[in-house]
Amino acid sequence: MKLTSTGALVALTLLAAAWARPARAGEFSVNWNPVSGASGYRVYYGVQSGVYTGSTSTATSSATITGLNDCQNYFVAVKAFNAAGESPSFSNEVSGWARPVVTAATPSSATQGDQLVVDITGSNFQDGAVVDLNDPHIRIASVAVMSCKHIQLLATVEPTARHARAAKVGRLDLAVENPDRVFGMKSRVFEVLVNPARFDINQSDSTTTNRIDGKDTVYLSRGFGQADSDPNYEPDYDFDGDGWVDGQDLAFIASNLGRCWSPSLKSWSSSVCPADLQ
Amino acid sequence: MRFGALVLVLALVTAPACGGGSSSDLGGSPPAIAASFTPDEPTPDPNTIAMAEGTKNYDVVTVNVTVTGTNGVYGTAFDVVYDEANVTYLDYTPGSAFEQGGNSPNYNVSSASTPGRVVVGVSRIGNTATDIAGAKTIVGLQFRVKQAGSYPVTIEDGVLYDAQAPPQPIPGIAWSAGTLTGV
Repeated sequence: MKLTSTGALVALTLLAAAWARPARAGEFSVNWNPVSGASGYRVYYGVQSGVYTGSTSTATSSATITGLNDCQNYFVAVKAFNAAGESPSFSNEVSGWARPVVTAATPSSATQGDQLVVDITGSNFQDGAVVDLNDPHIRIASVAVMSCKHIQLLATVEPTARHARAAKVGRLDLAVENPDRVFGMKSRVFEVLVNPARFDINQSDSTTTNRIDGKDTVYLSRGFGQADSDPNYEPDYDFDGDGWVDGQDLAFIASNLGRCWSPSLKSWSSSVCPADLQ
Repeated sequence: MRFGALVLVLALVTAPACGGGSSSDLGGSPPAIAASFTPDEPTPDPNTIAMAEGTKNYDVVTVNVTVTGTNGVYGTAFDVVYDEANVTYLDYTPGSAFEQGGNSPNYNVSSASTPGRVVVGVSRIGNTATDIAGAKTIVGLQFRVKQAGSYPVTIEDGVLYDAQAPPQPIPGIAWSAGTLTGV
């Protein structure tokens, strides 16, 4: 194969990394503009700028370097090659850490209405990293990168007041994104639990307050079928926070009919009802 | 409600052992008890929630909870208290009062957590009320009388609601119940 113009190979431009794949420990992904005449590319990397101690080759215009150390800055550059050899010059150089990896969240669950400190463990967390739980009704504040393997934050799981939209019940994905926009995510690592105290939506008199009865079902029926896009949507009736007042919400009440609130158990129980209601 | 269903299933399973033979005598000898219900107010005035006797079958009687002559009704909530030692609550049947206009009401009726007390909530869906002309059944409650005697049934903490958001109690509603009897 005839040597392609050296100039074309030199024009290689290393772009920002592509991070669409799931997080794995010790990975660094890069892509670049392809050049004509190249039959492949060799990706060089090392822990000092311009000093490359490892390499890998690929026929495409992207690569994922694996087996990197955690919490270590790496420098990466690329050369194109064909049958005549490699281009004489490197591309521009990019640097960064291996992508963040989320291992666990502690505690791993919270009840609607809670405000709690959550510790996230993993690796490759950088100062300035942001955390996302993919639910706008979980407010995250005071994110502190304690080390490259530990983030601490304050999470507020709505609703913390009446008429506030509730966080959705279920297991949530948790993502950590470093300042260089590289992120890692762990699926279903944090669970939001329904707050059963919310089921007592009718507190219009002393008998029904702290008791689940037919009055609560009538209240919920008045908002039944309404979605959060509806101006009449009542967030207090949407127990599971899915944006609908529906049969699942009614079931939370129906399954507790006749029971009274136990502050110590934080649940509904017929045994704690006044004697004349048992 | 679940307990009631269980009782019915057990009765069907055990029936051939009692009577045997063809289907005409399936179930064997009828129970010794004949149940009935006597309302406190046989002819309710307008704006009254009352009870009336429905179908009867040996020791089982349905007590219909009715609403009479009331406008702007959206839902109702109440407890029905009965003598647990002598009466068993079996199940409920939907009424017709709140179905008017093609509505599909929510029926929430249970004594699972509170033996001796049936907690009832029945409500239309949506935001429209209905006008009740004459007497219409809200819900039927099926009881089994276990032994001979008279056993009062009472309604406690009853509220009839309008269709405001949230629903508000309709004032001036009278409530009456009655007595289950086994002979």
